[in-house]
Amino acid sequence: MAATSADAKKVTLTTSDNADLTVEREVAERSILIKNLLEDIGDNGDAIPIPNVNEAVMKKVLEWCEQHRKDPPASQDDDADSRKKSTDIDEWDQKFMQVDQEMLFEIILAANYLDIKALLDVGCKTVANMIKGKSPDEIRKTFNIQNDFTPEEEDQIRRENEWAEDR
Amino acid sequence: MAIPLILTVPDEILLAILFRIQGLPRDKTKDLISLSIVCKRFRQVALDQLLLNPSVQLWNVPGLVRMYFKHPRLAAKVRALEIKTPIEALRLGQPIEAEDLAEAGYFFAAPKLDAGLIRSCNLFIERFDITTENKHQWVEHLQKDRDYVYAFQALLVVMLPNLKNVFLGFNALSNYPILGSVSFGPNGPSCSEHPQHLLRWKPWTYNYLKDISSIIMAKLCWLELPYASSSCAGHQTTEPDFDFTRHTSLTQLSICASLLSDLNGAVKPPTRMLPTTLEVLTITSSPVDQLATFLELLVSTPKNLFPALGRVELYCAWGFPDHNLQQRSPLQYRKKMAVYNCALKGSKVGIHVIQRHTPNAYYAHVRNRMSTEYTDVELRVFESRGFFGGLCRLSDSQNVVQ
Repeated sequence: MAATSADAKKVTLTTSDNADLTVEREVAERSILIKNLLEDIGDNGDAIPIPNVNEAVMKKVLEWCEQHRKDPPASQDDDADSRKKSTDIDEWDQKFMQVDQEMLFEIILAANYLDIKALLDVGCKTVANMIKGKSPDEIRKTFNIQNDFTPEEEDQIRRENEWAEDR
Repeated sequence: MAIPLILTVPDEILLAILFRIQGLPRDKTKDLISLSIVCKRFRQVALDQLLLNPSVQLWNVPGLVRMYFKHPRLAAKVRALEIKTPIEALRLGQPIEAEDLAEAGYFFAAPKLDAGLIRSCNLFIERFDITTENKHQWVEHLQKDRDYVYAFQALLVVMLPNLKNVFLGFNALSNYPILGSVSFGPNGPSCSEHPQHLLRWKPWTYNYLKDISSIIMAKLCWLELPYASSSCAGHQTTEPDFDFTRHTSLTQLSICASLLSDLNGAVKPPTRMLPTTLEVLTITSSPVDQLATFLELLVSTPKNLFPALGRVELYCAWGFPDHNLQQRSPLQYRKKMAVYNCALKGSKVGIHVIQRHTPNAYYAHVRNRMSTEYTDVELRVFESRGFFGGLCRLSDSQNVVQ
């Protein structure tokens, strides 16, 4: 039903730092938030404010949307398919995610806010891969986290975790 | 110092991240354990993951019960439970006789329970609506060698009010008396015959478990018992006679083919073992002999006896019987053809019989990456889960009954 006026209509997005970014509507509509907004208010040519995302992050997000503009929309009913996809990150996305941690988490937060499920998924997988197989200390180092447990608390947790051990 | 970025994301995203940690169940659990020691924020999120989808070794159930006493909020949310058995953890090539298990401390020696846990258990059992005599037996068994395993299993299944899916990875049915009493038949083994029987085949003396099994029979929708001990090399036993007809909510059942026949080796009529509510029946490691007989009985059973049954999944290694097989082994050919003929017959009465193979991609993954790290037994357990989308554990599956 949406495809009738698809002749490369553009929309303008205003980021939190007041930058105006103009993109094709189809690209912007990878974001369910923007899609719903456009449907609700109608496309009257006004810029859409995106108060939670700054220009640098928005540009990066739109780069992803551009690349994935033709992806089929996520279906709710096809569980098997989404699980199949979830085992890997495709090559373009892997490269796309080679950013510093600050940008990585900004992208994840933006994808969450803008409701772009596939991008959120890729972001979360990237972080998950940074956790996989690491010891508590290595995880702390990777993400620069302070250990906020007292030695007694840590001891207690280790004991509590014993049920989940294999031996 | 600035707050680490990962700690600035909301819980739902942190959860989404943890949910996407890939790998075999064992590795994933390790990652969650590591995360829970990193910092307080991670502790909570990782704990939720561990306790919402618990996968626990049989002998570690007391520790899990303790956690649910501490976090009743999480207990109410658990829909699926996976209990693993000691056999799964034993390395290939090691003997798995009862004596060895006993020596290793499995089953026999009751764990030292602290006063707090005992008090919580006693209070819980005290409030439970069963006879005083049964309460007494239940409490007593909590600290009894070997019997503590069953007593804590019972606690676990009643502590989880919304439990609907139970997955018993590598198993012997007799390790799970909570599923109902097992019958050994008039000529069944006595407990003095063999040390193994002492461990696994005991006369039914657990009166309090009758109350518990009726609870679990009423609420369980999905039960998975993909492998029986008899399918493990060097562990030659027959499964006790078991029937699932009293599981009145059961829609999905996965069993090993050895459960298809009774103690005398005769194939059981489906009406004697399957509940009328069943929708999907999965049969693993199916030898062709029993399978053809059982399927013939099943597809010939009047449809109104199993109105919901729409699918039978067979996990077997053999392919379609072809001309070569016919030449080589006419008997094998006939038997396999019989299975396929049953499948045809089934499709006419609305029961779709599907043959499944070991998922190759999965197998290759495990083999290529870390073949030495996994036991043969584990491989088999994991294989059985392959049909749920590669490496995810059954209880990770979004398909669990909510």
